Amino acid sequence: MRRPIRVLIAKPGLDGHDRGLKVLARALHDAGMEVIYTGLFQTPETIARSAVDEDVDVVGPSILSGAHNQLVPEVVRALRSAGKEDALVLAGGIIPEEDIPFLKVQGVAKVFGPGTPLSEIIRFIETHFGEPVRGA
Amino acid sequence: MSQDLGNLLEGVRNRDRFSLARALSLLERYPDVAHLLPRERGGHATVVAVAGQPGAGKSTLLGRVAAEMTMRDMSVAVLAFDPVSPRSGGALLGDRIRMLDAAEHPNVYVRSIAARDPAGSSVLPALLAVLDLYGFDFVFLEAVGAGQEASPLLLAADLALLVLVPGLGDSVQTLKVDVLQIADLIVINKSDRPGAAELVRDLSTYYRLLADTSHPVPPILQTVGSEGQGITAMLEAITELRDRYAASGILEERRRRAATRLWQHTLRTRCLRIIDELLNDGPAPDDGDHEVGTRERQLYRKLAERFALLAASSDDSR
Repeated sequence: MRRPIRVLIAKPGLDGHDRGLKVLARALHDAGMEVIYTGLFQTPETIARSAVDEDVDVVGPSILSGAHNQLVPEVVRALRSAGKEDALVLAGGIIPEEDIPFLKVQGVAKVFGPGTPLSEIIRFIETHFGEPVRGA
Repeated sequence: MSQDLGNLLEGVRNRDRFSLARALSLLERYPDVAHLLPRERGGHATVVAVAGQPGAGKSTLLGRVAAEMTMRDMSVAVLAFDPVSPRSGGALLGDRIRMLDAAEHPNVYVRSIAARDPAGSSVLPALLAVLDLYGFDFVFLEAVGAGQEASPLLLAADLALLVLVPGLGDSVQTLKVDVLQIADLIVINKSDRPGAAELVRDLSTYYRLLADTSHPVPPILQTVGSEGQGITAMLEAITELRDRYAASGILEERRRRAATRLWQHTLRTRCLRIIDELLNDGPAPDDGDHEVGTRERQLYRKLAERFALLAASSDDSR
């Protein structure tokens, strides 16, 4: 039996806007995933710690503050040093097109900008794990 | 898979969090490997179930208590159960957010669990065995609510803690809470709100007049979780209960009963699954009593066959 995909969505750094992320959380829930949200103002280390403890499959930092080139690579590094390099990292938020190649080199599988349909994010995750996953 | 679990358990014994997290996932995903675990809880962890209506402040209180416990060199695990969407099977696991300060401490482990199989009850003992192996002093099970859904957790635990809040209706509402009868400790959280004194009075009256006299009357504490008020008293009440129940043999008795109930629960689940499978097999009867009667007899015959098969296979495995 396959367990549902577990997703940690996170707000690293000084960025107090999580309304979009909460909508995403609900959408992933409705798609049968287990979603963990740890709240605002997290450090990359706390995020990595939560990812390990909760044994998640996906880590999704959302950044609307413009600090993505700094914070997202730090999240990836923190995950690696915590031994959690197998997690799929997806970034979201206000991220300019020209920054995406850099983030991908840093280990982000995909960047979802403003206006991305929720279904596209769901489909990307499901495809990555091989099948649409239903809850047991 | 059993080898994986073996390696992971070795890691758990060496207090490796990564192995701990993986071992719990493995058991959640493949409950059948649970039989590879030691049947009894070998360690010294005290398991405390925490029930209370959504929004009562269970997570916040647990975060505070866990933080206070680390200051006394105790290690703490929290299994935070959240409801599963019956429609999608998904879950929003939001308890961790209230425990972040504690969760950063190396002696605290917080794990969010989607309460699939009623409150995860059939894998629960396996999860507890792993946490025990890691060597936690306390394991808190945060239930989804205070009703039916909380009972598997309460029955698996050494101590049952009930969190209530003032202002959620009149005293009749309070009396409706199932868990009152089995609570070992009652915490009135958000006690800075109006109605706290009345709630204490109602509960005291209930226990004086109505409660089962064979069960010790639980202490009633008042807290304000968000301010950290009453946390020390809560911690001390928990450790005191543990010591008292351990000394009087109540803990041992409860663990024995929990093991029996688990065994019954596992069998019941297995039987019900077979019944459901057979009931859903074939179209619903729709033309009159005669047809219904025939279908019913067919069902009993098929059930007998299936149970006979089960009886034979469990003979073989012995």
